[in-house]
Amino acid sequence: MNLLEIEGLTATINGKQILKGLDLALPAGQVHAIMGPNGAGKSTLANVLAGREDYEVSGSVRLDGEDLLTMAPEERAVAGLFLAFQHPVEIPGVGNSYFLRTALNAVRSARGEDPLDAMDFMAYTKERMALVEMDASFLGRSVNEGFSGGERKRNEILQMAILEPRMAILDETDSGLDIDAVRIVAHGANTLRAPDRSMLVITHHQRLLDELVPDVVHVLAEGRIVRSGGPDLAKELEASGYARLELEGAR
Amino acid sequence: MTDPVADTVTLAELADARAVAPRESHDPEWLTTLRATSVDYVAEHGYPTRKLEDWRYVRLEKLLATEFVTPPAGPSDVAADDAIVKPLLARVPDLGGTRIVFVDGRFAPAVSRLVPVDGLRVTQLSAALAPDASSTGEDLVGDDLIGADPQHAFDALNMALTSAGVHIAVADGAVIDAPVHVIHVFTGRGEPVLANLRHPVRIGENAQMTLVTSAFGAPGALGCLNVTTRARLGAGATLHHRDLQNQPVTAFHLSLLDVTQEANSELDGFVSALGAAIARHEVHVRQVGVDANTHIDGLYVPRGEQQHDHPILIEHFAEGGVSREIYRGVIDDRGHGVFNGQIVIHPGAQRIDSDQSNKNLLLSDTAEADTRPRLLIYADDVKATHGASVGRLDDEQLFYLRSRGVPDAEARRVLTYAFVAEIVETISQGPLHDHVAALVSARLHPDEDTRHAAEVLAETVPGIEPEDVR
Repeated sequence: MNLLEIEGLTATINGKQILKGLDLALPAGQVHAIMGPNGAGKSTLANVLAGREDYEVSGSVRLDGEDLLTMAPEERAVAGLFLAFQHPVEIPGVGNSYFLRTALNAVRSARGEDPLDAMDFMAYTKERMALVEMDASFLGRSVNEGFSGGERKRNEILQMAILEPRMAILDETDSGLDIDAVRIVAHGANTLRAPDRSMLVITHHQRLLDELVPDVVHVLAEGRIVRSGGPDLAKELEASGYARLELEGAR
Repeated sequence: MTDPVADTVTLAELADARAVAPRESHDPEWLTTLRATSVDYVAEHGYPTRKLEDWRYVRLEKLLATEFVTPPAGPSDVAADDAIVKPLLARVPDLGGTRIVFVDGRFAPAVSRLVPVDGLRVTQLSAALAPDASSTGEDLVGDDLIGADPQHAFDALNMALTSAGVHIAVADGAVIDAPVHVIHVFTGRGEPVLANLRHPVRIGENAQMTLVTSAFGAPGALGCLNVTTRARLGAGATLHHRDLQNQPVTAFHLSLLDVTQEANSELDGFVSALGAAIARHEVHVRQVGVDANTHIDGLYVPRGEQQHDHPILIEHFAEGGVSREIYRGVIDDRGHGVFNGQIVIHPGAQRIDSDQSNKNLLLSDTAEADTRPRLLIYADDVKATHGASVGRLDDEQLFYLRSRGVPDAEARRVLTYAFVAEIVETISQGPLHDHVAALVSARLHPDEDTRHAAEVLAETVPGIEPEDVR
């Protein structure tokens, strides 16, 4: 069955329509990639799904049958949705450790599980930090403060590993990273693939998809999915660009 | 023992010299003269008005119109098991050293504790000023620790009416580990009290000490605490000062910290304005010796109708001085926070390095912040920087926290505390740090369970290793 079902989704900001009736179905356990030219609406899709309030939205989005669009961002998170941000914000004065534990316990509480105390949390987290090759000193720092681009992206994947969402959206997690960092991030995400977990991977580049091989590749252009195909579609796009596809989509 | 029935008087009435009758016949003659001169100053200058740069932001009308009594001479007979004082003091951590408590403007020996330490002398001001105290009192005057030209009418009034205070002296080279804790408590009993305290502090050459001043009281207590702390730091001396103002929101608080620094001395100051209807935390530092260092952190969190005013004047008279001010304000409801900082670099004071930073977070549409970092520079080889901002919670940060499942209210709470965490975390870990953190958190979130808040705070500390989180 489909974990995520998007039908006729539109999103408008400052009078400009970015998403123009987007349809997408993502079965449980699958990884789908979304590629597309700049300005196609890829990040808008990620933000609208996570609940950013800057957009006027219509259409329908269901997560495991529940209406996502009426939920506040924190309700979406505890329902199992996770967005790895393209530009994770710095939060000086808020410790990473406190932040991660608060988030985890909010999600655990929604799943009917007991909160973890500081000690159990530390054991739980250390294991997952190894996954993205982060050392313990990250926990003692403020959220993303002074983190390099690569550290921020790894911190996003770490959060995903800790929160264990059912539906993860990776918004250009590979952008600005060197090849080694892409490999670490892709390895982290690959390890988290599971039969009951789906991922929507937004990217400009094929190289992430070489490591994190998707079940389906969608092309987003002009606010709609214009083409879908297997992993080979990513390679085709890398070779020929988006221009031809947009023409096909317009027909 | 019952106190004689006292007449009430307003501050406005006190400005009329004749209203301040000579009260203490047993003052030494020089003190009687000093008090009379101070009264003359008030009569001549009147109270500051909003036309003055340093007073333009506070509305003093309510303070000037309130009827007060001045405390009778002599110590308070409040008992150790006093129904109001005991539970109030129980909330303050024991810092291990000398603890001097004033209750409604009078020294309260039954709840105070003198811990003798080599090199530290703590004397009641009344004893230092008594006619039989040889020349101690005149020494203090000679050192400008008492007297000196009043900064303004409230300072003069303080001198004219000083009823109590503590004189602290640290011998040359002495390093005093346990903080000296000076506490003032308003009980709310009887008529509102106008308490004028004066604390002369002298830190000898290369000596070090920590002075903690706390002011609080019973909820709803009226009263005005007008307190002057006048410190002189000898060459190479260090004073750590922690000022914790958590008055009832019905009280008035006027404090003046006046510090003179000799060569290579260090003032490490911390000011927290949490309570009071009107609180003015004035700081005046004079660096008279070379290579002195002044660092003052401040935070204020006015809400409701509270006004927190921070006039800060740092004067560099000598070369090579460093001064740093970092003030953070979180303002809610119709609260009003003011940072009014001025750095003056006098002629000849070369190689000065000074910085002023003030940031304000507004939590409501009616909250008000005024920030005025100012510089007057009369030397050419100086580095002087300043920055000021007034803003709201960051939408990106808020969304980030919420997208991880943190509820909106909790996310706002965390971000609000984070705004002042930088200041609170400058206090080294220990009972004093935890006390300040809990007080700040309780003021920012009066409806919260403070136990939970303290737990959160202990963890919202960047820089600690995860192994420490236990």
